[in-house]
Amino acid sequence: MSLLRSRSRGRTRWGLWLPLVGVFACALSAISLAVIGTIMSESVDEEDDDLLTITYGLTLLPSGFDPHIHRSAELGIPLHSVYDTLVYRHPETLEFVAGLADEWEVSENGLIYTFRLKEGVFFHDGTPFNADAVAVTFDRIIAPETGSQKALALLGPYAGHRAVDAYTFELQLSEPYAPLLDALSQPYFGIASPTALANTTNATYQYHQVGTGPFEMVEYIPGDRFVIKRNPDYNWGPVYLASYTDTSVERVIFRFYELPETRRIALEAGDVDLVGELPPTDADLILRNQDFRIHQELIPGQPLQFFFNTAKFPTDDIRIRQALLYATNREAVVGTVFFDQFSPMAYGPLSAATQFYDPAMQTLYPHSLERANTIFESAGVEDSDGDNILDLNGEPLRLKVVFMGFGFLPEVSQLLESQWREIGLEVELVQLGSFADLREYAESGDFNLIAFNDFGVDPAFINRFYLSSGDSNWTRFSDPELDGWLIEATRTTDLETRQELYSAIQRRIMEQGLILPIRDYVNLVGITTRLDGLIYAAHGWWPLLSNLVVDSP
Amino acid sequence: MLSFQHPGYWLPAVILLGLVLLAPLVATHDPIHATPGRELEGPSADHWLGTDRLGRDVWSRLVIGGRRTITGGFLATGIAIGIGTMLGGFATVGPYLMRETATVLIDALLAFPAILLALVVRTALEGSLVTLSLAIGVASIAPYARVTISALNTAALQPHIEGAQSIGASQWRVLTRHIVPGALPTLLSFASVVFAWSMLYGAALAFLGLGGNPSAPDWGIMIAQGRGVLTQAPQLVLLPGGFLALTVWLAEISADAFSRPIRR
Repeated sequence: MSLLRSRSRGRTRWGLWLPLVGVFACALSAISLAVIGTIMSESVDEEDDDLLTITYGLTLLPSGFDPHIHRSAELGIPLHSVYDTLVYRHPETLEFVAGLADEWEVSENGLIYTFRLKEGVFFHDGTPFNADAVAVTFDRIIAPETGSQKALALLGPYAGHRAVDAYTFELQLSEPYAPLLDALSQPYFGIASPTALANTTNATYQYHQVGTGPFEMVEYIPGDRFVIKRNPDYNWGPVYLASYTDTSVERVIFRFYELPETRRIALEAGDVDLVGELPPTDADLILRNQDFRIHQELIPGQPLQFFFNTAKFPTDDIRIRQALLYATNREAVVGTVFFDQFSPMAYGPLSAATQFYDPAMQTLYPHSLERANTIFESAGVEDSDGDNILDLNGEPLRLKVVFMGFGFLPEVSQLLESQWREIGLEVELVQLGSFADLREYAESGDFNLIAFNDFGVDPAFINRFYLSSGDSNWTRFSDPELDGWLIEATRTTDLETRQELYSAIQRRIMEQGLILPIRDYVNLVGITTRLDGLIYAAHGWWPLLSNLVVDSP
Repeated sequence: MLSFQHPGYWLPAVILLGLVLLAPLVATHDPIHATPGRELEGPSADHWLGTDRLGRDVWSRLVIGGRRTITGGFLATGIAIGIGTMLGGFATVGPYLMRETATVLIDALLAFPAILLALVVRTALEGSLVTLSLAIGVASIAPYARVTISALNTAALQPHIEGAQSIGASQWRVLTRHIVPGALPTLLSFASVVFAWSMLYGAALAFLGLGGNPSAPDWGIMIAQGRGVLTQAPQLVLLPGGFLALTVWLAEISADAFSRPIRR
């Protein structure tokens, strides 16, 4: 038996090894300390230290900061101020106002957009702005090797573009596309300096971005900081931009606070002057601290919501979906998780800040257990086998709820579970870690409710969720009439027609019980009372940094 | 042979099993039921330890959560001991090829940090108590196998083994009557340590959001959920954390008792 083999071995010569190991350990510690020291002593460009500087806490480290390539809304927070776009949307009226284009016209058939560009505009690197520069940016966005994740999709039925003359730019479409100007007003269409683009590659441009905006990019160190400083020559901004004064903010250092719990602490410790997406519990604490205030920014788009799977028992039955909408005490969910003062309840597929939102949705589905029970009774739902779980045609009502583990979805889902158990439903919660996992689940169809929402001012973006052929039609609902409305609403540019169509669309979605809306999205921004003038762009996420002034420098 | 007179051998196990079995009796509320408008309350006659962020009874969640956490610990320890002993045994007493294969396997497993291993296994599987325990158990297989090898070898080098062999005891008899009983105190003692680790790993995974169903009462999940309101209601983290520490301490007492030299 091998176990009994001899175990006598030569003694290890520790006498020789020990000093060597000791020397090695000391050397390693010394190197580590030196490295840490170097990192700690590194500070942000000292030559700019006399500039009026604030620190802005970002809540996400995007996969990249190139607006033509990457898709995160977070990248627009600094870049909305680095670039100008051809047009802008007024934050209050949602009307389109002049950006780099003074005026524009749309051809009779809605296929050709002609932009008359501003003269006397220069990029931060001194390159003059003209129609050729615009064409270079569009060349880049449509080039397949750029791999645009967002801008290209926003262009819709794009057919071509050309510089007509030095200050006239033309964009051609293959069919009418109402959301085009809204798309062009977003930072994903920031016009970049052709010189800077020529000197960099698709991989390196994000570190050396040059636009025409009120701030110029200083540096980006991934995971550490993104720094921008004021462009002193800027005088071609949109009408709602404040003019430069002695107390205007001159430099903004963006830092990353991905863990929600760290944001309030960073704010109160003075590490940041401004931080977004505070958890409601922390925002509530900030309200009691007189050195800070909470700015609530309504984000247009979809509310926090769950899509019902109309192809899986029991949510394949419209009566069950409607009963669930009545049975759910959404007010209690919203009040508990988000607190009453930060909580616009959601009623339909669009949040109240979205264009063409129909307030008539607010009267649908008030919380009523009675109505839910009446529907259950008429549908023949009862506990037929005495196990305290309701059954429909002998099958237990079991709901599988799928969601990602952030954005307070776990809390909301747990409260839904608590409420639905009460009325005799069995609930299974599935918490996922990533969007990829969520997408996989959505495509498998193995769920009754799945939580997801996207953002945008122009509701055209909801097509991919509700068109029968939409790539994210997770409800699996198919209705030719709804399809027709959705398509027509993105083709016609007439505002009244669009309003009517979107009202019909919102009503149909709710009457069919395709979603369970919970709460309109609000960005809770904590800001030091030292700063004034905080305004966000129409799309909600992007601050107008040039309007920020310091009360007491 | 082991003697079970010292209370350290059995008392911690009895307490933990008692908690697991009696939890439904001492819980005062449904641990999943949330009462709107009664969030973050302090202790009261109705809610002995107050309520959590969603208005659920903390006491009920603690005791029922202990049930889940401790059951998970036992399951994971079972997996680690079962496979670990087998691997360790193969690596010590098997034929040459089996010995080498088992050793390579153990070394390969040891090369991964335990928590990373648990994370990988857990990410690959759907979240439930069993898969969570499996993930944690797998992480402790290699250490347990290593200890098994060392305990068997130490026991085999004792002089009385040579004595038994010299009076003609069979290989099988030497192994089952002398070597294995000699290694048992070490193995049992380390099993308690693995049990303590398992619960800590389980809590760590739950804290990272990998504990499966978020509404399941579980100490790790409770700690993770209490983290957001640490300043307003520190008890939501301190209570489950304290219970977890206490359980780990009980397991360590067991480990101590098992590793004591045996008096006859």
